[in-house]
Amino acid sequence: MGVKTMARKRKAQNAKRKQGKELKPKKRLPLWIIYLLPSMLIFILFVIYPFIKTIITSFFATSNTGALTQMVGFSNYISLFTSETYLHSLGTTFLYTILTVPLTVIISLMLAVLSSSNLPGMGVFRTIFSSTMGISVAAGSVFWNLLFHPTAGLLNRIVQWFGGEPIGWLTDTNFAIYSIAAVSIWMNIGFSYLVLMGGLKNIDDSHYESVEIVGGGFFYRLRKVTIPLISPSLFFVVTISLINAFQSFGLIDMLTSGGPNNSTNLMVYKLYNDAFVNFRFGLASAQGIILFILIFLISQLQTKLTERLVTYQ
Amino acid sequence: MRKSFGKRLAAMVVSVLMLVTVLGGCADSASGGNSVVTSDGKVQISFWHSMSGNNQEVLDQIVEGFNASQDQYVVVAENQGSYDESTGKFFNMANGAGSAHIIQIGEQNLQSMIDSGMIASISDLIEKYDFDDSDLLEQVVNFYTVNDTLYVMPFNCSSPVVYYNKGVFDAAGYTEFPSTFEGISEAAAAIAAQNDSITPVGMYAYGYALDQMVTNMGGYIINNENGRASRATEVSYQDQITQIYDWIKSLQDAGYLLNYGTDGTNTISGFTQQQIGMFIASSASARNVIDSSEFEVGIAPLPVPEGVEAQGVYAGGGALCAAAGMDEQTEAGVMAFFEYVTSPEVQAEWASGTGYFPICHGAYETETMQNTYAELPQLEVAAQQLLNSQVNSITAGPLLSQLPQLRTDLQSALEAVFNGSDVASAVEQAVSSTNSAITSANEGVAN
Repeated sequence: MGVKTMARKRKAQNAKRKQGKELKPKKRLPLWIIYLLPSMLIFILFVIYPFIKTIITSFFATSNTGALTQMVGFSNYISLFTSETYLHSLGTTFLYTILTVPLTVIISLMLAVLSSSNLPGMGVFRTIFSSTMGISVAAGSVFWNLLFHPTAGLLNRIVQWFGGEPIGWLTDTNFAIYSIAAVSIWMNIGFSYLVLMGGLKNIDDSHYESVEIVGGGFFYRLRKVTIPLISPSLFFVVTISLINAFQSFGLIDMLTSGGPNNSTNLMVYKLYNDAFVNFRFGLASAQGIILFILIFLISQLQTKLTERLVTYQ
Repeated sequence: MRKSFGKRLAAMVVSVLMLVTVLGGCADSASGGNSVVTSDGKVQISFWHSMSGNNQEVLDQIVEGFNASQDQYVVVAENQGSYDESTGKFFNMANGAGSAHIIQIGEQNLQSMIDSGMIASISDLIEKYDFDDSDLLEQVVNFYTVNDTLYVMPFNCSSPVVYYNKGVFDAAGYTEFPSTFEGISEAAAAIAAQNDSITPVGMYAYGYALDQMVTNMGGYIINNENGRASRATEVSYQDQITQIYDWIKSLQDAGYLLNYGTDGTNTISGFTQQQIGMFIASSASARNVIDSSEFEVGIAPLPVPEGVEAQGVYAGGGALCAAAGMDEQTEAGVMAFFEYVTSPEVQAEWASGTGYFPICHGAYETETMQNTYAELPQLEVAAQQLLNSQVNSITAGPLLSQLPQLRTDLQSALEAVFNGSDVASAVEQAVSSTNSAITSANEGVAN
């Protein structure tokens, strides 16, 4: 069943509709245009227009107020791809994505599976596991900044209590990206957990009863029933997490400002700095376009790869 | 079954209404330039600043003082984030309604502001309103004067200084704080030898302090005489910054240095909790550091390498811009506010409560200021450092729209050094990054 059946059904419906339509007079003003108008206008104003403008700006040098002053062709793109900092930033962004996305999804899936049973007191755990959703990036960063403090932070006190040397969580180039990734996973678990939990709760008990009749264990159940049945939620969570990872900004801005030595200077943070601190809008626009293409390609690739694994009930 | 014409009309009306609502929101912002009058008939002046914490409280008191001192104007002060963030927002608002009439900028934003053409010339306003500018410090006026035009009203002046724990240095035999890199290294060794619980030097990568140290050592930060002779095209700090990084690296290699990344707040809390013996930061935090430390805080001018004469610093800190194209009423109000905040008594109050120093000579003579300096002589160090500075094109300070980028690159290079990179390649990386930024920014103003 699934996709194919649905497609077939839709075709049949369309055919029916066509037949009906031919009987009616064709003079009608297409009402759908009017219904779409408000959202189309907003969409054009805030998405399509800025997008086209960004493409244009990316081929120009700009004044610091954003006025286009000189056409420079592909020079913004060329200078980006020959800039060590930008290539480094690209690499860091990929590393960060690989660090955060799988772990976020796996951990929240585990938590969701563990807390989906109806034992008494589960509500408490569910609240705790989803609670990071209610914490703003700013508040979370302030809190983690205290924990990461090089001398007074709790984490280094623990390390020292065990006899270790204090670690520069956010100041050591070898650690900073992992520290940020850890905080990011912690922050994103709440949302993923909630979505996956919703998926789990939608699974009909009869499926589990069948497993019990067959005599399958916990992992059999997870592999054959739970994961296939929540695959739409999983697919959604992975897509959103990927896009979010590529666009992460808040934690970086609050915790490291892209440092130490650019080791956490992710693409969007660099873009922000070039646009709104250094006022080089042309260069920043080019980065925006590159980021768009990247996210577009990766989402496409991910859809292609996982589409057949997703089953809709 | 056709839908009635009435229904279709209704749908159309609803869509149009929604459209009007959306566009109406945008149309509002095109009405800049007209003064905003409050319900009790006062002209409202919007003031964007970047003061936070203790300094914001002191600033709010000053604004309240101005509002209470007269009944024509009311100044509304709003924190808009850091100098760089606030400048960015100001550019985006394009002087429309809701934008600032007065905006506080850092010295690094001066060239950008001038390039934008969105600020009024203070020289013109001074002439028009017969403002008495004879009392303003010449060093400060020099920094903000470009092509004989003063572009901003001096307000909060600071310079980077060394903060040190007096007790710790005394105990190690250093009752007088060393003025050279070598002297500090020796003192650090002495402290490390007799005090296990404290790291002698704490440091965070702070671009402003780094470029001021270059100035203090007699180097131009950028070419064309710090961008004052003509628009700068590349950096020229290599010799001095290499010496500075070499010194920092030697401290680090000897284990005398604790690195706080780029986080000034963490550095200050490390210092007040006696985990580090000294650090370098802007004097703006002086009052805050002194008040939150339970030990005696010493403040000293920036060090130089042995054999180099300290040139002094340029007038860093912040200043106030006036938006271009204000109407008469608002403009008069802005000038009244400038007159108030640059008056000796207010400057003394401001300097006593923060760590900035007064930008007018008169303030130093006031009782408030003299009492404060008698009670907290440390606060005077930053002022003296500037007042004793030589007046030449080096201490005129850098004029560069990409100064924020230059500082970020200096910070990145220092962080690379903190993490074991060799000094030459770190400097080279910073130089090439900043130079390409300057080139690309200059392209943008070429026509």
